[in-house]
Amino acid sequence: MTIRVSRFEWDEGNLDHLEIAHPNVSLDDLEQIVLSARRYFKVREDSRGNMVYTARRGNLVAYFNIRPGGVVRIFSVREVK
Amino acid sequence: MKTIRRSRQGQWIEHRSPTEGEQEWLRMCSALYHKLADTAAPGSAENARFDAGDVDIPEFATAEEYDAWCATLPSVEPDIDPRLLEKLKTSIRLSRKVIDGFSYLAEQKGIRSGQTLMKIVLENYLAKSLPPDF
Repeated sequence: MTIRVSRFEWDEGNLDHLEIAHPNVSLDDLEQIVLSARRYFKVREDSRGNMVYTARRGNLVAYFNIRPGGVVRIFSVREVK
Repeated sequence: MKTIRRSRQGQWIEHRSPTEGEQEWLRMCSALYHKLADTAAPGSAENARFDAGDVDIPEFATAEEYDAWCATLPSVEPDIDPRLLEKLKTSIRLSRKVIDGFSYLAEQKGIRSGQTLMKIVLENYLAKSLPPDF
């Protein structure tokens, strides 16, 4: 099964959190996590019914939703060693 | 309380503050709108929950632990628009006022740089303006 990715969505809701929590990670770094992953793993649905996906690139792990039309909204990032 | 404001058409119109009942109704309408539009109002409690960990995400110390967890999850293969993979640099002549304006607003909004804000503004403009199948 494939899922379309056509653009990224950045808004005050996800950006505020990411900029504060991860000041050393640029938006481009975050987009590259999603763009370079061969597979996205389905974590589970959130309380609003949106599927949460995850992908890793190097030591950065991104959590994101994919909305209708292939709109990726990254809302959380974690670092692993 | 009554206030007088000028409308977009230049006419002076009278406003009064909504009553408590009307405010509740407006909140319900706003919540319904965002639910239907699949968006959360910026700064709303709903958005805060959504962004601050609506999903209980386990912590992983190492990439190996994370990968082992992922191996237990269902997965999908991305079909990425190839234009997203091609990153280009472009230059544009802007006045000092525009550059300063973006820097000022970025600082006000807690965004790291004016250029980051420019990227967001450009992408949001395209998202609103381009046909969905572009």
